[in-house]
Amino acid sequence: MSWKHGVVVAVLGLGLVGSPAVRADVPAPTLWAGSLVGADGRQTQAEVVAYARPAGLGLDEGSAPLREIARTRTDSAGRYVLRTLHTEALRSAEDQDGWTNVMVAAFGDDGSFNLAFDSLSWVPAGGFSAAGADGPRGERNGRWVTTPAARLAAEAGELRALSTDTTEDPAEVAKERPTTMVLSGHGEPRFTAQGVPWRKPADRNCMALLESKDLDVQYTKIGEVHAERDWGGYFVYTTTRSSSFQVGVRQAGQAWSVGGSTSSMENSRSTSTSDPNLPPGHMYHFAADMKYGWYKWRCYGNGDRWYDAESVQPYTWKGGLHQTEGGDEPRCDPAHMSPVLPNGRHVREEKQSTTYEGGVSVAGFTGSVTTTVAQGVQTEWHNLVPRERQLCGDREDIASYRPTRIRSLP
Amino acid sequence: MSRFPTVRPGSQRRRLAQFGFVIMISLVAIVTAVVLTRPHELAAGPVGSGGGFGNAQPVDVGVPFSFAYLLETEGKEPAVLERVRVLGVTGPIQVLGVMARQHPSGPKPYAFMAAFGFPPPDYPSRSLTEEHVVRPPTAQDGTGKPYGGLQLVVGVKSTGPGIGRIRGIEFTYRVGNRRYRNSSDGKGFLCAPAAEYSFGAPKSDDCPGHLDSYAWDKRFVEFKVAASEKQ
Repeated sequence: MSWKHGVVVAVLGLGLVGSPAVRADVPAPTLWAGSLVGADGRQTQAEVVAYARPAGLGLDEGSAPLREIARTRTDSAGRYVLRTLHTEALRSAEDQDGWTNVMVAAFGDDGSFNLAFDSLSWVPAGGFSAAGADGPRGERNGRWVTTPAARLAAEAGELRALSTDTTEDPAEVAKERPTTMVLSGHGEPRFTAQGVPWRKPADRNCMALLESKDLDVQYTKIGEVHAERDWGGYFVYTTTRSSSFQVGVRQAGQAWSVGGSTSSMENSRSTSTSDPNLPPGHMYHFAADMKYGWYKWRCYGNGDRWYDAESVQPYTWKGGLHQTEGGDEPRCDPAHMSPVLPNGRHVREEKQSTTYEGGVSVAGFTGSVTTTVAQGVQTEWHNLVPRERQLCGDREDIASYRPTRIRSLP
Repeated sequence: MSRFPTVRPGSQRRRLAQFGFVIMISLVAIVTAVVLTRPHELAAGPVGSGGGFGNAQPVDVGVPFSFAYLLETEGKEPAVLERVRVLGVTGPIQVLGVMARQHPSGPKPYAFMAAFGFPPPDYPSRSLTEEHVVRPPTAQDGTGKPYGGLQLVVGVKSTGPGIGRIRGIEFTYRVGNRRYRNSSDGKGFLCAPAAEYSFGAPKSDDCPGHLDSYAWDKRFVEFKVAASEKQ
């Protein structure tokens, strides 16, 4: 190459740095990624389809439409990645807090099947406050998050959450939805028009909600204050948007299992507080009066195969707080003790999460609730005696973002 | 006469070569300068310090006090602190300094979050010059999980009646040759005088009260490792 050519190439190369023309074609953001195995634990091949569904119960048959938003096939190792932009279909299914219920159906090539649920939120690149963040370009520039903690961090403008090359904590994501779905059953091989209210689709698909039932109020644990003698406390809960409730799933004739989670409610905001000075010497549990729904889904696989499955999940918060005393107390790991001074107060608030095992118990399904304490929500301990005493985490330090229950020591 | 200019090798070709070379060097210099001087955000990196908490204490004006933040690394290499900022210094409060201690250590091996004194007598601390490395944890908790790190001890004192407060800390560090920056929004509140904010006193419920109700100044106090304080 002559020196002239060298100069021209160098100049053109420098001029092109950072221009859109040299950027690789960026795939749509990942909505949901995971892997599939059969009941025998072996990887399996399948077609995987994601649907969006508005919040709410949808008591009338067919009133809770499923809208297909992504479809893919597993690779040779049984892994799949569902990708989509922040499309109109997803936007129209969002609740008032920006969460969208997503259902994923996996149709195994061997006739096996399963469903999983999650709620997802779109975080525009540059943050929620960026001007035009969700304009025509915002639809493409952003990412999907599933954990309330990541959502809150993004809203707060935390750099770590806004960085496009960061991902959510895999351990936290795994709590939100199954990273490995187990496909089981083989559906009903014969397709008849009788008893099947929806027309059979051309491809593997879930057509709509087949049936739903209001399970009425189920008190669901969302917080607690362990107040030993001479410890005071306080608890406030104002929104379900930072709580993640497990969803129960079962195929016809099978047992309930955890099939993901939801944070998307029809009504999510209220203000519910405990006594501002909870009397000492009690273990307080706080439960939200959530209304649950039971849902029956019908999906169609290859050939004439079809599947019935059920799910239970909360769909709205009535706005009340139910306080009980006694029962299960947090443990203390001495490695995670922190002293509180005489007259001192310790508060847990933004972005700290706690998982309450068995917080959900409805219609035969028992699951857990992860509460990420959000703005406007706080749990407080007061040391009422003139000597230093300890608060103690059962799994982590009390200042950690990671889930831990907290015990007050005498 | 020919319409085409005659080819003149020699001096003109050399001048063109020099001109092109100058352009290329200039462009490289401009691009390099832009890359080096553009505002850039550092990644959070492997060191975190929790957050989402608040500690409040009724105190009397002028009494030295410490709020603490535990820095833990998820990496395998030690992290070296370069700078600490105490953020959102608001109301009647003065930042006295930042010291550090290894956790767990000492007669009271707790991850304390608030203590009287600076440095607190119960938690011996050293200057950032002496103690500024976040090492991978070696102690094990009850489940066998490693825990521990470097505890930053932020010294403060109340400068008058009311609630003086800090919003959190930001710390810059490096692992090997790479620099990172992370923060904690753990808040600290000094409520003075103690008699007005102790339990049963008229203002007890205000210390700290609803954390959302607070506005924060943008004022910060910066401490560089092995350098003097800048405000």
